[in-house]
Amino acid sequence: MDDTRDFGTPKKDTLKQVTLTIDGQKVTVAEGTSVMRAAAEFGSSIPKLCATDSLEPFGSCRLCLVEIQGKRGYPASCTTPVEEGMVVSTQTPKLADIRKGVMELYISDHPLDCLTCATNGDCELQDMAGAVGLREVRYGYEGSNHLKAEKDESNPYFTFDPSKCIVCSRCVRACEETQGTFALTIDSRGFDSKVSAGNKSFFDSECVSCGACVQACPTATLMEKSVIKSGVPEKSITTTCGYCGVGCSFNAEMKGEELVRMTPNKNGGANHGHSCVKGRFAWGYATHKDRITTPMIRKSIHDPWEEVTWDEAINHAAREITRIQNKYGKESVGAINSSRCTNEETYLVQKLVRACFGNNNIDTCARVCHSPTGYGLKQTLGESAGTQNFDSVMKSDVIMVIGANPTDGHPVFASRMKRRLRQGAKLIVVDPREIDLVNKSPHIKADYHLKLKPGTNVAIINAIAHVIVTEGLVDEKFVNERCEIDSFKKWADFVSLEKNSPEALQFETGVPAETVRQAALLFAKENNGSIYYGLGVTEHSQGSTMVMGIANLAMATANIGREGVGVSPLRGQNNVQGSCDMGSFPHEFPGYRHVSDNETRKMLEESWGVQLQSEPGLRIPNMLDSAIDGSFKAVYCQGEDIAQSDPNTQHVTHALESMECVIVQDLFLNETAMYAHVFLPGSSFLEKSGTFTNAERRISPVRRVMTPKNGYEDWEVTQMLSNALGYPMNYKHASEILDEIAKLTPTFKNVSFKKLDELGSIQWPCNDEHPDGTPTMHIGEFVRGKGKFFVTEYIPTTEKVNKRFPLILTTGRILSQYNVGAQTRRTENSQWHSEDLIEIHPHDAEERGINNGDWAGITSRAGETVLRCQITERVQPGVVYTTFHHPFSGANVITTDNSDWATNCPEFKVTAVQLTKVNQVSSWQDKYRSFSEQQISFVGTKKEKV
Amino acid sequence: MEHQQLIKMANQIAGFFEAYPDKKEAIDGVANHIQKFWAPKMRNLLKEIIKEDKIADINPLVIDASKLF
Repeated sequence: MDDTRDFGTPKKDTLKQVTLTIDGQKVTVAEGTSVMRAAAEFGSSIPKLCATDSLEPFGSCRLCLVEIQGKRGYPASCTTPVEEGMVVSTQTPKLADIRKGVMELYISDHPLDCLTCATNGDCELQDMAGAVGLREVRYGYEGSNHLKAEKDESNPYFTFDPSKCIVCSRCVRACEETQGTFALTIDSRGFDSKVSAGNKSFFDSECVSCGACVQACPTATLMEKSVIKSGVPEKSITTTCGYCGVGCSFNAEMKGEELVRMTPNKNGGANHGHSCVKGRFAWGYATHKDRITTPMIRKSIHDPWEEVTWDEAINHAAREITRIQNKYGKESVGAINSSRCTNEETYLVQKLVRACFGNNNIDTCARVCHSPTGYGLKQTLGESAGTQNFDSVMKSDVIMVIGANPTDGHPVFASRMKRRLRQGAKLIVVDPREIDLVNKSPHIKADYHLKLKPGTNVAIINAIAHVIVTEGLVDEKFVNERCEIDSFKKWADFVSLEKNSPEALQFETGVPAETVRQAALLFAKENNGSIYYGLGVTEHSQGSTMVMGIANLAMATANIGREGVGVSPLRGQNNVQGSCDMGSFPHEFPGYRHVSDNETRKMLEESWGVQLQSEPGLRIPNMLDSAIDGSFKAVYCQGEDIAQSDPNTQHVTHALESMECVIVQDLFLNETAMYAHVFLPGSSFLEKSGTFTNAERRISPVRRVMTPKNGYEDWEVTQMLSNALGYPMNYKHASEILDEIAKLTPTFKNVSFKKLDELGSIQWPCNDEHPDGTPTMHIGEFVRGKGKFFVTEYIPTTEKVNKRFPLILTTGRILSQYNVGAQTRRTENSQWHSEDLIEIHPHDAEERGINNGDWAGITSRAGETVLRCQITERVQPGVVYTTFHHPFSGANVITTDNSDWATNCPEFKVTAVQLTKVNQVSSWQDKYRSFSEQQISFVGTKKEKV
Repeated sequence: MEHQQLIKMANQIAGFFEAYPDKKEAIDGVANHIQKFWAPKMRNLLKEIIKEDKIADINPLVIDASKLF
């Protein structure tokens, strides 16, 4: 069956089959299937306009009428389910007559500008006119019509042209069913019916620009501006989004080498045809004028850049690394790779470090986000990865969201979660802030919002566990069969202590004991309980403890090892899971095998032809500290921007300034590149082949759709550097790197480009035992054998409020911007979020004489910055909140060096600060502005080259 | 690498394992963690600090564990 076709109505997953006759042919389909879909599955296309298989049938267009023996009239095939023995005719003279009459009415109020219309050749209305054989329209334009209805062009990415609207409601239903935002409605009745974004322009409305309405529109009413500008694409290549950890599959629709639009792939395992504003529309950065495409070198960061050839740049970098290692020792250099790069690229960078640099000084940006996930889940369950696929949420009865804001950070998954919540699943939100899921998403309200004080996660998880254990709600059968009993007993004894009761901890957490008790009972008593969490869990001094606390809870309630349950970290960037899988941590080889594991090391040594170190290398913060103490002198930084994303900016930049050679490989002159001596231009996700692995462990293909603007895919640059350093690498294509990964990593054993092309995507482990991958982990047995409980003592952070710093700053992100903003700031997404704001509660604002929109100086123990204030009750008194998408904001100037005890993941979520009303930017911002302007001026004329 | 930073990190590790009532299990936990995740340079520096008896701020579990890594 061609899954790219539109079958008109959604597939039914029931096992019971029904046999009927359609146009004389016997067909057998799943019970509940519509007549329209049954016909489509067997190759017969019934004309339709209001139906599409991503939406429930609506039955409004009257084009899909059929005749059914024994039934009166002409039922709509989209809303009529099949019945055993039913006899259906889809093409009769009478039906043809009715359909032609319906189309005639539609066309009589539609502009006849097909030849100049942006969707000419890609329009369902046009197709249907042809399908029903419409040859004339008897009604003229003299009467009332909508042809002069005003266009809404307010959205930067698409237009709304009501003159072309047939009021089929597909857009309205897509906004409701697919996205769950309910921003659109049909206003008025009869002839006056019109699609409305709540009587506002699209830009000013609740619309989140996910593109679901544009995707669903069968005419040119909702249309991508890029298609209006460039015309209908001529080819399509399936690839994977380069933004968040959902890993949506997209069709890159091209005209030659020009990307015209990205449309979500309905067969995408992670997104099932849905998208968000970033993946769908915010890809313009790839061809932005700020791209640097020529390699550059310089002696000092105070010198202008010199543009050089690739050979010169690579040889210069290699000479510097060699010089530094000769002078300061083998351990004086290292590398940082990025979750924005492919598996193949991150694998190659870690191989370069281990095999060529001869040390284990490799780290990745997961250090500052989900390293506690890797540690905590490995310890408890045996594998450093989430346990479920995204579809699993549709079988959850109660969903606990901890320290995550899915509607902003993981919007496509959030849409699915919201769908399940609208179906009746219960919701517990554990977050210091009122995220949209609490009470701002239509038809969704959290059953419990545990609005805790930042930094008290572990106290809350212990209090929940206390209730479950002391109320006798532990699933003892599961624990006895599946877990280490000794570890369970220690944990159960510990959480049962009075000090861990909700009552004892309520002052510390700020959450009333009764609320915690009710939430705990709800979670334990529902059949399927799932936990989704984000950086609000990991970016704490007890991040790893909290991850283990979550795993403890899931095991104690038997919520592991089947669909609808599990522990699911929502990964921030597109390839956080993958970069960790690829051995990007200094203590682990690919596949999470410790560097001291002799068997693995021997196997890699044989394959790579060199001796490898058996001791862990330096983590990013260790590298920075060592740079300042003078023992770490050079870093190769691929696709990561530590000068903006890592905590305590001044410490980071001091460390970078202390090094003798900083090599940055990136699309843009990012913040770190301003401290670099070698700049190697990077390639965007559109310009390379490889794979990304999302938060579900889903390995998805990334396919090159255009020639790299810089001339090389990123892995080729790493290979050139390695060759220049004397360690030969001779891969001819990224697929060969994946083949090597599969050969050396048991969980990737059966993964290849060919298999990915066959299956679309694969969730690891993919090996002989699981040849097509593993959607749900730990079925029957944990990866480590028996699940292990850990005692999770709550230890308050040392980052405490006092008179000087009385507020707690916590950080997060917003829908339209992504991470450090290097990509999204270079798109129209900045129209929604042009600067980072600091949210402050009205009481705290009033105390300080701060009004909405005022500038506030934010001072912490680490530094000071200035941001504009937004007064809101979303944050609780005593807590302020900001995002970190703009470098000038200096959000990380104020975050501290505090970090997770196990992994050194920074404590981004808790910084004691004071806010005061000010009239000017901070001294750091002043210095930053002049420094960055100087650095940009050092690049010279590069901006003209793209 | 600053001594205070190193001591702080070691004490944080000890803080986690301190919750285990069996002291040997706690000491092993600290030692294993530092052995598995710290670069030799950091481990050696910590041992040096302990050897030089600059231990006023160091959790006793760390001192006991340092004999095992």
